[in-house]
Amino acid sequence: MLQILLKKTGAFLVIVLGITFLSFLLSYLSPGDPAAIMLKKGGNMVSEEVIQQKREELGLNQSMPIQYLNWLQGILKGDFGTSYRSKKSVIREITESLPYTILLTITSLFLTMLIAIPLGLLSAKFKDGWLDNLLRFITYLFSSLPSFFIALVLMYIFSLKLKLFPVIAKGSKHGMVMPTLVMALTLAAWYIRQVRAIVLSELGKGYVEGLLTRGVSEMTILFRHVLRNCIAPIITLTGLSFGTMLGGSTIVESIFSWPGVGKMAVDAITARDYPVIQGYVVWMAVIVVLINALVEIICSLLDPRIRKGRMRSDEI
Amino acid sequence: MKRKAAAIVISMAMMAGLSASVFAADGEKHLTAGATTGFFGAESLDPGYNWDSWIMSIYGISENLFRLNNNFEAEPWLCESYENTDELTWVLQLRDDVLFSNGNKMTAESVKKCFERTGAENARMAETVFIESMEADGQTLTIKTSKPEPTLINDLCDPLMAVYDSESEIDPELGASCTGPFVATSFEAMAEVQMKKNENYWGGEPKLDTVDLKIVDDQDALNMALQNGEIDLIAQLPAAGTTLFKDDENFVMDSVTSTRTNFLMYNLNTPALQDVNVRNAISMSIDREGYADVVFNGYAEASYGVFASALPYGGTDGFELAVSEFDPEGAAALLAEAGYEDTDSDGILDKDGEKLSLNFVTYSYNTQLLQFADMLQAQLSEIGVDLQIQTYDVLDETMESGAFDIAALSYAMAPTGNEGYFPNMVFVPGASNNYNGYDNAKVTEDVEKLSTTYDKEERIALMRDMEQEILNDGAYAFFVNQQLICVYNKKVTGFEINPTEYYLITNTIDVAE
Amino acid sequence: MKSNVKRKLMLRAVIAGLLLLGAFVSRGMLPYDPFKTDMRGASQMPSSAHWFGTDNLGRDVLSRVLHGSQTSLYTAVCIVIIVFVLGTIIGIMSGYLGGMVDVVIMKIITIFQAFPSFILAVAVAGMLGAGIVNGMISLCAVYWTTYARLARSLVQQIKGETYIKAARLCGASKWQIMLRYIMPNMIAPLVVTAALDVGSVILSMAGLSFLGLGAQRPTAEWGMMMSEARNYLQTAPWIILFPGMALFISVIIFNLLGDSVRDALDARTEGND
Repeated sequence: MLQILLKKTGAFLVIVLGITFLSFLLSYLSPGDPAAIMLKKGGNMVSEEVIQQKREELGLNQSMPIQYLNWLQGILKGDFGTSYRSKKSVIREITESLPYTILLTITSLFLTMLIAIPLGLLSAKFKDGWLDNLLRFITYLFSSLPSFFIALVLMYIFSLKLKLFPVIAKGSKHGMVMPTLVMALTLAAWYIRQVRAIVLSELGKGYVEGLLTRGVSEMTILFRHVLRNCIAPIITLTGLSFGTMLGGSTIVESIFSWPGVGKMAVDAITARDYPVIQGYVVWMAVIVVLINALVEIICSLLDPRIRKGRMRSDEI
Repeated sequence: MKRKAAAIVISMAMMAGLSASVFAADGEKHLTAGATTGFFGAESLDPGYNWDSWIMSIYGISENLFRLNNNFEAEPWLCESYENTDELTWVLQLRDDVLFSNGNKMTAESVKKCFERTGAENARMAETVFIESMEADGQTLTIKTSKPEPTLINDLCDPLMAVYDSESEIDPELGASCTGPFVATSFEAMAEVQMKKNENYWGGEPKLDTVDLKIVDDQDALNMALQNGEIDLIAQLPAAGTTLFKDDENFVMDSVTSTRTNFLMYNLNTPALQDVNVRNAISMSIDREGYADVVFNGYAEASYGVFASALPYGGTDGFELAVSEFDPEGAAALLAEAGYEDTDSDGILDKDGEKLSLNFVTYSYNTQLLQFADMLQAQLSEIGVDLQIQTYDVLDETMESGAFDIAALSYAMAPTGNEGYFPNMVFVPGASNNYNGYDNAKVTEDVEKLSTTYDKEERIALMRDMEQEILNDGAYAFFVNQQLICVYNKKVTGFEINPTEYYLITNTIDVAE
Repeated sequence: MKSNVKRKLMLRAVIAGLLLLGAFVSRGMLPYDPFKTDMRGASQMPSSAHWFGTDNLGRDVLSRVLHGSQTSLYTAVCIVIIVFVLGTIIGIMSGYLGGMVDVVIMKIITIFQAFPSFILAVAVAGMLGAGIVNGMISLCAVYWTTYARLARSLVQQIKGETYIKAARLCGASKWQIMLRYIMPNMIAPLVVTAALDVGSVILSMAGLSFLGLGAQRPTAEWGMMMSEARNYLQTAPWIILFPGMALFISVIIFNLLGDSVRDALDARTEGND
């Protein structure tokens, strides 16, 4: 067990290192001179010499690997640089916005499961029945619509016509409903189909037949036995959705002005605020890796059979 | 199942925590206003930084020694009276009852220190006022200018000359302590500012307890937010929204002719644009009337001159115009005259092997200028000019680095009532906003003379002379003068629209229950 | 049952083909110039002259939607082809050569997959600067890993089969084996993946453009058109509605085609609807 743990930790570190390198490479390749951008903010005229000096100060004259190592050293100390735009440290920008995104992600995931698990179960139970067909039709529609379009339509109906929820969420309790709804609806469309597939494969197993012949009612089998056996794959699914959710939050957060990291990233991109974008990418990737690891641990605890480590994102 | 329960509890707790911080207590008077980055978006609350003092003045946080009325005349504000003792000396008597929001008293000494700091921080101050030295004695501030500055009183109305407590530390987030009716309680750059009333306010207790300012660049979201009651006021409403509110009795729409002008700045360092014929051809391809009537819904006036016709020295009367109408054929002819033809028939004109392809920049949040960009691009492509559009939410860096061929800009051209404001900032070589390398000795001389001329008639003559030069050179194309539009819920009272765009939130604004 | 699946596939393939052909051909026969602005004819309701109405600058929405179809659909198809080829080559190399090459490639894949897909796309597009080419690069960076991973596992599977060993004994070279024996046997699952990806690539591209990171003005790209039309949702809803419908219908068509391809080529996953 210890050996496995060590090996996993080693693999994890390599991945995190890779993530930081890729993120660094991206900003290294991005156009624009950070020294000039930093100095020219605020309406000051700056001479080429001063810029050159700043470049040296920032270590931008050094070779790429050295620059990377310097940057990595900073990161390890929690220094992700300073936002060009707000002049706050990137770490502060992220930690201020992250709770909002996590909150939104958790509520959306929760709502998604609330919608998708019962519907997925029923859809599998009544395979090819009218409910299954209807659900498949609806999920098809939702997964073929861009989330921003769903967001705009819901905004028009719920915020403007019915005046139920605000358009500019800005972190309020009320304002959270709309972005949660949009995120949950788009994800649920995919989730229902996955749950259905998981349940279907479980229903095909021998023990179901056995229970049926013993006279256990169908619904009991479905909600007690089958659902219990589906928990591990569903948790894996949820872990995977976390990444999708974080990605989807960029669009939804910007539409509803929800002050999370997704909106922060989009704003940073329009302002070419590279340190923020860089910090964002590293953080998101590390979070997703951590969550996947967590999911793996939970699953192996739930079901010793899959300790071999096959339950990774191979299937996505 | 336990995990689920825990998730619920955690999210509930987080929601409760969030909502507590967001909603104001009952019984308090609260106003929420929204606008796009262009009107509300400060980068910091440090009056010395970039253009931020302007936004702080709009917020009702900072105030000046003088204030402009609706006719652009300067009136004493934090100052009680003033005397121009000789050409270079001004003696200002400051109010004795003004406290900064941190409780410190505003004295002549503190104003002096504050101006000194702003001057050291911001390059724009040197071209706004020509202060040689200042002397403080109690509430008496004596300003010596380096040259005669007849417009000093107006120039002191520029929000850049905001009065703040520069001796106390300036908070990195909540900024400097100022004298306005409101103080910031939270500040999130380009997103949201929350304010409460300044308990130390000298000019009468503010009617509102708290004010929330939301910076939202999505115009549609702003409109909807006002329609469903989330916000109470939209400042500087883009004209497309006027159709929504014009006939709705629940909302009041105020508009006023401001000095804000949309114009093109041609980069004279771009080889192709060094030919005046090319510049004029582009200027001729602008459908000014169409833009004013459709994009602005009529809340703008097409312009062929330099300054708005409402100004005594503005309009087109008595000027000789190189471009006086929308004339695509004329534009094509000018380009042919300039030696451009489509030799490789790819649809883009060329000359000496160089394609006529230009890099066009504008603000990403200005919906009107974005539409203008599309319009001009389509128009120019018909006569074989290729336009590459790039948009930025902070344009300054791009402009300073000179990485543009044509910029579409929106400036208030005479907000202080000083005719020389814009020329000083833009037309003079080396000026802070002279991004295109424009340099005409005659113009520079006129601007120079203007700054020391007291006589009103003479000032207007100088302005007109300079404007004719600008029109001849065609280094700019001023295409519309727009109106300032504000729309608000009818429960908002005491709101007064001001053409300078310097003031918005005041102590008199109130909301009826 | 079998012939039913085939018939469905044929029908859907024809529809998708017509869509692509239509996007290609229509550019030559647009009713109006999609970029020509006409301020006096702005924001007109759909009429017999302008079937889809005109937008805020008086441009014909139908012409713009048709013009945009080429940008939106062909970039997506291009992206899928690129990642298909690139991913497969990398995957085969990894699987066939094995050893250190395999280890390094697999680590790289894992690192790329650690990024949530849309975040990686947003970050790449944001760092490289907005634009349709950079948008394509960013989506390629997201999608190639699936193909590489799949191709690798398929090669490893096939490598062990007896007929490969037989071929080797008969003196076939490494390249011959790869091209003649391995490639044909792994193409089906890869094609299924590709067919299923087109719809989601179209949506991702539209999402990037909606955020201003994909196509740039004045390109008529559906996501971009919808982003611009947001401000007229209340006053002129048709400006946003028609590109939205076009996007929706195209994605549905490609998703249905993807499902049919899967059903036809890969009977094993029948359970997955």
